[in-house]
Amino acid sequence: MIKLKQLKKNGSKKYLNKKIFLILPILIFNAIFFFGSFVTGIFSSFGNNFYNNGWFVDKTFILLDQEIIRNIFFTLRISAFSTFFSLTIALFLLFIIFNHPIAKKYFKKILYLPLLTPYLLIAFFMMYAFSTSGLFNRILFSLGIVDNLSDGLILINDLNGKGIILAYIWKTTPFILLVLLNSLDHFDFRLLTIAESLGSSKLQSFYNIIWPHINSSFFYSGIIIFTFIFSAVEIPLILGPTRPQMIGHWAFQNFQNGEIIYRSQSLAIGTVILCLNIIITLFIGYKLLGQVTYEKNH
Amino acid sequence: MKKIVILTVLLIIALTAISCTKTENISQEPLTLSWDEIVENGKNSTVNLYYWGGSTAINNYFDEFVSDNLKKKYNITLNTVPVSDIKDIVNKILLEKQNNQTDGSVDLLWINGENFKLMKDENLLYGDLTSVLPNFNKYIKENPLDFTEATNGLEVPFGKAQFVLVYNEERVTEEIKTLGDLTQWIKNNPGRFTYPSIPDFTGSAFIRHFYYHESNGIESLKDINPYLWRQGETYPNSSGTLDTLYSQGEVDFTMSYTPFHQIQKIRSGEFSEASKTLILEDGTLSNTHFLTIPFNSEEKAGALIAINYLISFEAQYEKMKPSIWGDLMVLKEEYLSETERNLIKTLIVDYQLDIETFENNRLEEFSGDKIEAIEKEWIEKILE
Repeated sequence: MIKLKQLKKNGSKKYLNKKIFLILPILIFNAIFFFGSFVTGIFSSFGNNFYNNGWFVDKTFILLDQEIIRNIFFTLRISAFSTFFSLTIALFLLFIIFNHPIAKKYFKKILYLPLLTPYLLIAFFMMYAFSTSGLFNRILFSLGIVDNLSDGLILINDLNGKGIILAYIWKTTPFILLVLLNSLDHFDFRLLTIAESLGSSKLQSFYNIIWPHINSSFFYSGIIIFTFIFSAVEIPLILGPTRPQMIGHWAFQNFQNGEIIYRSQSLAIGTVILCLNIIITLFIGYKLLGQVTYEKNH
Repeated sequence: MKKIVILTVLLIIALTAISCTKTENISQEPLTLSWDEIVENGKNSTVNLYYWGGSTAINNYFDEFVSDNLKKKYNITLNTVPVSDIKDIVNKILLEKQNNQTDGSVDLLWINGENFKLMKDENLLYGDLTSVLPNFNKYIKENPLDFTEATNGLEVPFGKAQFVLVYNEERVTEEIKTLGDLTQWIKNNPGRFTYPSIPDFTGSAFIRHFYYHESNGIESLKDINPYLWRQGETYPNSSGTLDTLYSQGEVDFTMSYTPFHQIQKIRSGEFSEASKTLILEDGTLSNTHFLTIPFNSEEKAGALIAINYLISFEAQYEKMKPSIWGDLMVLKEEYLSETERNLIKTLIVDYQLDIETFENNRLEEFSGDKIEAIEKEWIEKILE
């Protein structure tokens, strides 16, 4: 790390060329595991001697299949809702943090806690807390609020994917907040005091002073979260309903449980998901970030 | 730029080096030899056994009992490779065949059903194994079917599984004998029954019983749908999830393709003591699982010795003990000696259910194609 800083300072061409070696490990890792599996996946999805029904046969099937269209809409809906709620809550929390000095001091440390919890753990926690016979319903039951456990609150495996959304909000809100706080690392807080002394309301100074500092990180983290949820597997697998399925879950299940001769089909689905993901990312990135840069320049 | 090019070239070379493998010729064909010669050839070898390793009981059986005895008797080292899905291994052998690789790493494989059919169709199997195995010709004699597929000795029967229902005695007081009784119970007790959704193996097996016993299977399933857990809106995604629902008291039934599921789960403390096993009197599905040797195994003689040991009375009896594994025996009772038969009788006390109950209520499995059609119909008619 120290070396890197020095390199940055020196900035000479000789040092810059050596920079590539510093990121070489991660480049090789990505080349082999990410790019390698991407290429293998695409090739396998074409089918071979053994897998007769490959990409060519199935791409029409995939596009025409009602099920995948339903699954894609379900996935889009869940990703959009989760991203929207996480972003809103994060922004709201940020507003609170800035207006309460004590919160500002301790909040960042607390934020690391949910970030360190694995997704699987959260999924299982949700399952034990909000299933029919979960903790929450048992409490309602013992308080006499419901007569039957099945009349209580059920957020798991429901057709609207409430459990999935909740799990993602829990996990991604701290992430967004942390990104936002980091982008404010060099922010001069005296600006807020000045604004206030000039009569600006809290909301006004938040919008006019803080927002311009964080808006690009805000949209960036939104895109990261959206695309991440879009192709997620494990949380939908545990918390999602039988039908509709999120497409990542759907492809994984086909690959894992389907007959071996259909593996190329699952890989073809996987490729389609990847392409959809790239398209959506580019689209949102282009639309939103284009706008952000525009605002910054003018 | 130059460096990037060099790096790319290096990377390609490295990847090619990884994917290249040496090829060797195979030695003498053991199937043409007599059993004594096979034993002579296979002694002191190392046999790689690939099997589904999702159960501690099964892992222990192979790792301890089988491994120790093969070492003692033949000085064969059994190298056990537990895998999460044997399909991946079939895939690996497929690719080895494609690359004409004759020094396969798999010597012994535990399979059945679709995986066997695929291996048979693609000529990935070694040959007629059962004709040379002394224990097969002593205790079994006939090649059974594998999901209606003729095995022709290409694989050797190793164990039997049978579908059972597990219920909570305290909640289910009515006597349930047939599938009709069960559907009646489900309708009388809404929300207390469910089954794992397709493509779960156990859920699929449960559904198949309706196709066996009812004139219109899918209609009967549709009929009970609103009376299921959460009104049939969603299903547990695996038999493990169903077990959890059952142990939490959300439903009163669970199911398994392992005959002694309930005994094992009570022992592990997951199920209450009130859990009982139920076999429908109009029959439940059963299947046989097998051992086989791939075409390119390097230790075929050693693998044959291992198979012969695994279908010996000693190994089968040990496997049958519920405390060890609880898998049904493939040896035919009529060919057992008097002492062997008595040993089995003492085992029955442990089971709580008579072995004969299993024998008498056994249904043969459907073919792979038929199963696929049933699963498709369920997804279309029930889920959509």
